[in-house]
Amino acid sequence: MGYVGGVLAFNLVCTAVGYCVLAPALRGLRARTIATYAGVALLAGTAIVGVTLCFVAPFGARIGLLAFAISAAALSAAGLAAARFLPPLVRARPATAPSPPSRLADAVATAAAAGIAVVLVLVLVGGFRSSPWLDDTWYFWLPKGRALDTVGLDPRLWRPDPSLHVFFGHDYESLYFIRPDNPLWWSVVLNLVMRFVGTIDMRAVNGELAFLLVGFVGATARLLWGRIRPWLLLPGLLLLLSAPELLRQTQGGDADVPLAIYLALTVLAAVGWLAERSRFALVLAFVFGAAAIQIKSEGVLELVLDLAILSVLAWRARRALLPLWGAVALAFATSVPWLVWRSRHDVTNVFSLRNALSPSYLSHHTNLLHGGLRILGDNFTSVHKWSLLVPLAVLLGVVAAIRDRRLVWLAPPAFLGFGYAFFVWISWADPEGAFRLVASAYRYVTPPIVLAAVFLPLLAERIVAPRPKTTGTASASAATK
Amino acid sequence: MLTLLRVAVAGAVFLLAAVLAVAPRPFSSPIRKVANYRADSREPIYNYPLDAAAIRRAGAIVSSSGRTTYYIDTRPLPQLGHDLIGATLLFFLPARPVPSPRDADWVFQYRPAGRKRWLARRTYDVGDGIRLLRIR
Repeated sequence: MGYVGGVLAFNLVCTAVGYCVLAPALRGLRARTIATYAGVALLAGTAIVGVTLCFVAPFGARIGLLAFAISAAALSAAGLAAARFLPPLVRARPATAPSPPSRLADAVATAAAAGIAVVLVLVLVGGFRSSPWLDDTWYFWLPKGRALDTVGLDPRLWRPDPSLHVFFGHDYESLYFIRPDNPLWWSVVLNLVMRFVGTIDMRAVNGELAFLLVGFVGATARLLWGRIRPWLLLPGLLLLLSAPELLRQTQGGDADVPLAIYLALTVLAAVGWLAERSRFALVLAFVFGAAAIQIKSEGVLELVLDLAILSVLAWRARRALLPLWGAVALAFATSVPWLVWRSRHDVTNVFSLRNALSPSYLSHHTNLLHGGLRILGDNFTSVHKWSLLVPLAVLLGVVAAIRDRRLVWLAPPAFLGFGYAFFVWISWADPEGAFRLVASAYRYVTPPIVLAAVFLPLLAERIVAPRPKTTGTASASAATK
Repeated sequence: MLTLLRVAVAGAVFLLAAVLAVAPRPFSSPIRKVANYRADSREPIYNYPLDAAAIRRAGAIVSSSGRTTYYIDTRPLPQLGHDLIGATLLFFLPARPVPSPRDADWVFQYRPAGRKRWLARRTYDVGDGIRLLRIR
């Protein structure tokens, strides 16, 4: 089949699973409309299959093709059965875009759509022509997945053990996996991709990342379509894709891009729930949130931080917050077997909450505070790396907030600001913070920046749209429509 | 819906992209970077210039021996040791690395510094100065 065919087949199966799982919400829609949910289906299918396999791995299951086939079949059957027998509790409500008001608006939207297509084709071509440039991918992300497939979750490979340190010259290396605290989703997905390919071909990693990015753009466009004018939405997405660092990291092989994708979609779905009380959005918040939590250790912390920001700023919609936090709690529950397994086998987090909350520890490591502020600040504000995404998110957020006199529009700048503070704090409390800042700060900033960037079209829409009549709780809904 | 305007605008964007793709540097640089004009092989991009084919050959032998153990015998270079551990974790599973040859079923010799003598039941030459020894 070849590595391109293997990656394609894996993504087609995941898309099919996603469509089956979403079938209860999509029933009754026309085939052409259902086709526009392909990006959502791809990301939902990949997310939920991976989360299911991460859930069963700590119970001793080997995570290979058989486990994948069983879970994919079970999830698909459950989705189709729900669509057949359950009442329509959850419905996708696709909106249609308004006709362009002028030829200029039409031309702008068309040019942006064509630009997006060009970039995504290049991302796919480049992905399949490149091996990940970051050694984490072949050093531990993929080997962990291979271990789950061949021997299962063997504590001897995960548990930090000084007797498994070996010296090569003046430095030692460990014979167990480094960063054993990270969850398993990305490792599981990478191994499945390799199993579909039939051999270890590192170009398949970047091919998979390219598919996830294509799915992300498709899903974001679908979820915002009809709620934002196309001549604002499509240039906004093109702007996101114009960030050189996003495209570079999509060929890096690491888990930060998948985390950024799923975190952004979770928060976007959460906004969909708060603004429109769409149960479909709530389901998506659960599915995407579960994946974000299972991709990297910091995923759950970033998700809680971003949803806390949203909850405070969208307090007028507080009656909708309980179901939202319930969905996130359910998403978190999917990671409990992994956390219990880690605790049972002394696989501790590299981030120590005790250090993070200890004034004496922090006061003895203020050099890391200065380093964190500077290095992370440089990465957050680099126009060479992230184009105009950060300045625009701040500027448009402030303008929209002033124009509407609504704090909720400050959410994207708040995601950036609190994300910055969060990673400075984590680095400050990390005994290896100096190393990690140099080695990883450029990746820490990816999820908050991508998250803020998906809201750029929404902010632009808010600014150019007629000012809403803000009365009562309905204003929260109107403000994001 | 396809209109003349949309076809013309999209066509212009595609044409511009095609022209940029074949243009000399620096005009084509962004596209060259994203499309990775100098394609990589299927191998990991090692930090140390490892013999990737030899590692794959050794991996095929060790991984087919099941849940065995192996010891890495090489020169005392941190980057070399780092990359060999990662490469063997990738290709040798389900075999597991151990820190001492006493606990190992296999010894993976990757151009070692000295000439340690191992009592090998079987030896596989998998590359230039790269050998796999079945010692147990």
